[in-house]
Amino acid sequence: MDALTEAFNLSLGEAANTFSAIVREEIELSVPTIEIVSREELTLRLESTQPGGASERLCRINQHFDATSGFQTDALLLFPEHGSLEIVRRMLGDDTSIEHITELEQDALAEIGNIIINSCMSSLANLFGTEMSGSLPRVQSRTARTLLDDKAATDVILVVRIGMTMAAHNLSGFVLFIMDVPSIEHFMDQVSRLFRLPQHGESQPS
Amino acid sequence: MSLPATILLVDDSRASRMLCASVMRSMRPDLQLIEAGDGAAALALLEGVCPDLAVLDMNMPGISGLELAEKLRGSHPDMKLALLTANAQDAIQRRAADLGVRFFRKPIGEAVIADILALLG
Repeated sequence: MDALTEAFNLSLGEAANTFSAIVREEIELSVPTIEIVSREELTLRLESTQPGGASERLCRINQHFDATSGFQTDALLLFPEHGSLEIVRRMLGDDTSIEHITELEQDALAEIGNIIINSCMSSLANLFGTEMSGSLPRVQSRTARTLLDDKAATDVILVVRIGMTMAAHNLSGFVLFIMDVPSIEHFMDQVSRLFRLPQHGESQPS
Repeated sequence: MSLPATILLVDDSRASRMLCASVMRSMRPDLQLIEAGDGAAALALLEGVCPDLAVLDMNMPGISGLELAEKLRGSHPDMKLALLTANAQDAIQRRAADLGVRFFRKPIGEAVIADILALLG
């Protein structure tokens, strides 16, 4: 888990730099937490930790990735929906009219998600020496309860949670990776190879 | 007096095209900018115009930016090509280099646009 945390720390650090360049503001990163949980458990946790309560809507930007080395994952970027207009305004510049920002909001959010998620995935692909092909980004507005409705109840979720906070606006987003068990095993093998650790099914030399 | 340079922007994100065009115009108000939302629209546009430079996104509906670059290499060999994408995988950068396409990384800002405009010479 330590090596896994470090791999995500490297790639999400890159993504935070990218986010910072988009919004032209310093982004504070929290220490990443990584765990493997069921969909239901994650849903309950998200509901209980939303600062605005369980009914708060989240903006979810989702891309699916297939790696040539054998794993696949959905990457989700999440942030409170009330902050989305501010993020878009930051991207397009202060002199953009509110009508224009509103008109372009969905398109701009998809592009922001695309840039941040691809920054993270490119960094992982380069660390692992593999290639990943990704779908186009999809933007949705959901509550925590319905956030993962399109994922199978049996899916286990590798939850990598790292807060990216725009301090001046008290706005925080985070990233989730959703993988099935074979993908998690493949992924862990790649991380083990990267840090020269014993791979899945191998024992540690004594 | 030479004609103003023409640049083709190909990106499925309207917000990105708008931002790119806005930064380019602030640096070079004389530029002629034309836009397409995907590779097929770009190829249709190129039947009537021959830009000096095409700036291509990588991940788009239909053909990718590199597939489009490959077609443009054959049909418009003198056109300069730039790939402007968040997909910064080594494999993508290698493929771009093999096609003679300069790689630039999103997000769009003044520094990256200045580097792209420098391709015009």
